[in-house]
Amino acid sequence: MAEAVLSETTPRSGSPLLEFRDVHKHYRSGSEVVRAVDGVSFTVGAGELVALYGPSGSGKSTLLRIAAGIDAPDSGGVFVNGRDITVLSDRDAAQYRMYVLGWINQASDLLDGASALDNAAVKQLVAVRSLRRARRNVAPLLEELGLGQRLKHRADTLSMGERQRVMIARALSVDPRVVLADEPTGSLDTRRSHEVLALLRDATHTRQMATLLVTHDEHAIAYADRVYTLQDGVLHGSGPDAVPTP
Amino acid sequence: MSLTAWGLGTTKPGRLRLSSALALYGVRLRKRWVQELLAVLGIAAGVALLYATQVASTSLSGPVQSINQGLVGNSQLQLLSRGSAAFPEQTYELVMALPGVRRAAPALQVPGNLVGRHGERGVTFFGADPRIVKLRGTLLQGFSSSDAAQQETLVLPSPMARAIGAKVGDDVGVELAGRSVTVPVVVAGRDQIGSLVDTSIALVPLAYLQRLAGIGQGVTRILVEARPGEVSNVRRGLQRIAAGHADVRPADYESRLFDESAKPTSQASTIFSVLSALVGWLFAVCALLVTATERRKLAVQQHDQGYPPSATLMTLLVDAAVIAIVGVAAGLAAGELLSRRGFESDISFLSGAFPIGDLRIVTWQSIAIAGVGGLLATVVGVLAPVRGVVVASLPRQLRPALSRTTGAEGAPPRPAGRGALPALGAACLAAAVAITIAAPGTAVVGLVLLAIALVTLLPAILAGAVTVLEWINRRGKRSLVAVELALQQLRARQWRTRALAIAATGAIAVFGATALEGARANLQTGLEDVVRGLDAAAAVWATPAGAGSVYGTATFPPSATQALARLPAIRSVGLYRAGLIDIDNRRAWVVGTPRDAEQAIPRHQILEGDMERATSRIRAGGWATVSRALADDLGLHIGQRFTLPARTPTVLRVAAITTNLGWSAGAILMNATDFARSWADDAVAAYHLRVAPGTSAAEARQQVADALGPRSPLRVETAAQRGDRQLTSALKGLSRLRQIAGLTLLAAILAMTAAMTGLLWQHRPIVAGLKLHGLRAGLMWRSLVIETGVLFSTGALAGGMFGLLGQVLCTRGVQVVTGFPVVEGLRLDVASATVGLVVGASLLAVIVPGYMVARVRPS
Repeated sequence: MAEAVLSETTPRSGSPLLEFRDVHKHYRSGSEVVRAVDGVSFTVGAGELVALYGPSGSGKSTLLRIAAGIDAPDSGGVFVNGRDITVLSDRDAAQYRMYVLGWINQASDLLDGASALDNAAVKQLVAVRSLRRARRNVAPLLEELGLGQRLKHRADTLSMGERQRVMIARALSVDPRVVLADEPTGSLDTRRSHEVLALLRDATHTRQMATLLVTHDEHAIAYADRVYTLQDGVLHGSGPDAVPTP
Repeated sequence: MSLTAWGLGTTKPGRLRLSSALALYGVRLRKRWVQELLAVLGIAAGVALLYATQVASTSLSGPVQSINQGLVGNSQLQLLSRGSAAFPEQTYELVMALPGVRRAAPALQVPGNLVGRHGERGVTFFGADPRIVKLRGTLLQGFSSSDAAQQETLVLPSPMARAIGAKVGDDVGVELAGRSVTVPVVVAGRDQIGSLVDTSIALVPLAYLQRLAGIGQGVTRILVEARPGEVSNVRRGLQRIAAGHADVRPADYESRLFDESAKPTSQASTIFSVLSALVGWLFAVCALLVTATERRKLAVQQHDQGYPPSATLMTLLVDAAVIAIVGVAAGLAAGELLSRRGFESDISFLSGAFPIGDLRIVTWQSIAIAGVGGLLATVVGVLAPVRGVVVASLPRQLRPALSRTTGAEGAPPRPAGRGALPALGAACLAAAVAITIAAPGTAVVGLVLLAIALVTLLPAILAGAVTVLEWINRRGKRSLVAVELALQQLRARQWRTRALAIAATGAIAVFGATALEGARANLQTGLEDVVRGLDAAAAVWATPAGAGSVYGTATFPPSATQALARLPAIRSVGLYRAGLIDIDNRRAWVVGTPRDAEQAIPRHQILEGDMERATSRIRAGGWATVSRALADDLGLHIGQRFTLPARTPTVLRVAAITTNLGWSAGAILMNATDFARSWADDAVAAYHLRVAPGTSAAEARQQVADALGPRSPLRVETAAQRGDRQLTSALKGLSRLRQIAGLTLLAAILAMTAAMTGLLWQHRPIVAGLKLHGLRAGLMWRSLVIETGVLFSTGALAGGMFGLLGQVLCTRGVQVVTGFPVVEGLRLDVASATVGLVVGASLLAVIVPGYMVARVRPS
């Protein structure tokens, strides 16, 4: 199955890698209908970093969960290299998240009992079924991210910035085609934020990934190739001007 | 959650009102009542186990003390017959004539058997008359009327009457002293005879019992109440009357003898009680750790809102108090139920020698121990996860010392502190090994040390197991992903306390069960050996019916010897004698084996001496074997002379030192002729029937039964049948151990399952996070099951290993302390079955919750 998902998501030249087509997702809260995502359509191409800017409750996280195949939209579709991932079975959706997608969280979701190296190697471990090989594969990535001296340190002894970099390494470890980053700088200071965003941008360009960055950090916008704003579930504009002046 | 929004302010800085703390608890309870209920149930289960084992332990010797006290009343001394031979009732007049005697009463105690419509029961017939009422024994007020004393009837406790199917006015069969008659019965309940209702004692008017037993005007006891300050004078006077043919003993002598006889059972019960208490306590702590995360969050929240540590401590203590009060109350109620239904005492193997009963004794100490244990578990369970708050609320001068050892206030513990626990464990282990080798008599201390060693070494053992598994999993070209994830979780600090508590619960339960079940199995093998050895002396046995025949305490006149000898299936008839005799604080079993018995001394029972030589000496007469503990008490060695304090004191020489032949207080074996001379009585305990060549034991048994007739009070059995009956009786004393072991294991399985389910439930965010990265539910489920399996298996295997050492210690302890015929052996079957049961049952129980956790949505 993994092979099937992979082959169908190999980028086709000229087509967007990640595409949202008229996605709707509504919730009912008592008698009120909350329009979390309301007719969102946009694309992210290979080697492109798109920032989705918006305040809390604007529907950013819902959109990400739909793009990760966790939640299904009420209507519309999310296409990865032309294949609608909203209709995948649970099993195929898991394969998609494992081999095609890289996810970076705001809060640390690392395994405290494991080292930085083993945390970064979690996805590789499933892919290659050998911890030794998985470690060998991700160690250069961690060194590239500046964690060469911290490989064997347990996750609970790392700083927040280091943890964030381990999470990036984990997301990139299977060479994903699409990366979804949910407020990756939310718990970092300004200097660390810039470091992480630069890493993400460089990786997107060099690895030709489609990266969707959800943020309400204004600094993040400078690193994006395109910027959208999501307000009450509705997508507004594109480009740096899309971000309202605070 | 804003606390101030609820009006839960402080009265002054640093103080939180009790009412506010209670209100805060109420608010939080609404949100997490399921977890709190689980914690309360955990405390209740622990307290119940603790209480039930305490009551079981107290109830072992309690009934004998209580019954004896109820029988002897105000008397301080007694003149006691030697063995079962009675002395003349006229001795009473001599006793009353002694200066200083205020009151006295004669009594006759005879073992026998009752036969009703629904079955038969071994029983002790207790004969007395109105004179005993004046001693104010609380249980014998029914004898106050002289009419009652003259009646020819039996007073049966109602449970016994029900068991044999007898109602008031019915005639029941009475078999005693080789006679069989029918007698009308009166059924009495607790209102009439108090705690005697729980015993196997049938009350009979003295004169009537003397007639039934055919012993003229004989009695076996005269209870004596001396005037104040005259006890010593009266004792000297009684000793003159006894003149070496009877004994002068304290009135509570039976209780002391019983304590000695029941020592192996009570010692084992004590050990089990301690281990059960530990399991119960760990159960309670495990349950409370379910809510540890919530309490940590609360402590952090209160800290952030400016609450001083003392106010947070107050909040937590109120939590602990509420849980403890509800949990302890529910636990005591459940424990009471458990002790009534679960821990039925069965020490009927001693009923031939003591007036025992099934009385349940509940003391305030049992309640207090269970209550305090529950309270302590609650406080530890509530405060341990937030010990930083506890330390911070202490006076400043105490803080540095405590925070160094606990690692509180964020300070990592010093390396010395980390090493202290394994060092303590190693020291305890070394001490336990030393006790096993050099002083097995102190087995209880050794077992407690082993338990401490197990718990303190468990963190290192668990870490070692994880390291070994990691090495194995990473050795090959491919690693099992589920194993890797499970091991990483086991290394996580956030679960460590709970994981260790779970592993410790299983470890202690398996340790206790392996050690004591193994020792019990060794003892059982030893007992089987001795019983089969004793019974092999004759192919067919004819003995009085009832429990008294097991150890030969019921005797009969050998009037059918000639008739049996003429039967074609019988080659010869031997007269087998046996009885009990009180030597110091021991009620020893004396066996008189026929001279022509094929095997005078049962095989494998000689601990010191030569089998062939000892056998020929026993047959020749004037020699006896003595069991180890008895020989040690009396300072005897082979060849040494000693006087057997029988009715006719007899000088014998020690032919060999043996085991106790299955009677805990000790045994003496001689030939039957010497026995009759010592007892000054021709009565026998059994016909020893040797079978003619070419005849089977079954055929011979049938011929003998036919010759004795259907109304004979004698039971005819082959050696194998008698052996089975004796073993059933002898092993009953150990049945309580099985019950407690079973309950302890059950409690441990429940505790581990509940705590592990809680722990897995708290894994949900991690599982959800990993699923977000594409790890599938099946993989996560396998990982959770493996994590559980490693934890359970490590705890159980460690418990099993320590349990094997405990087995050796217990087996040697029982051998040394009691002289039981224990066969030394390592019962790996017991260890592996216990480990398998605990691991298997617990794993099965968490498979479904694990699946539910693995199904959590990615997030």
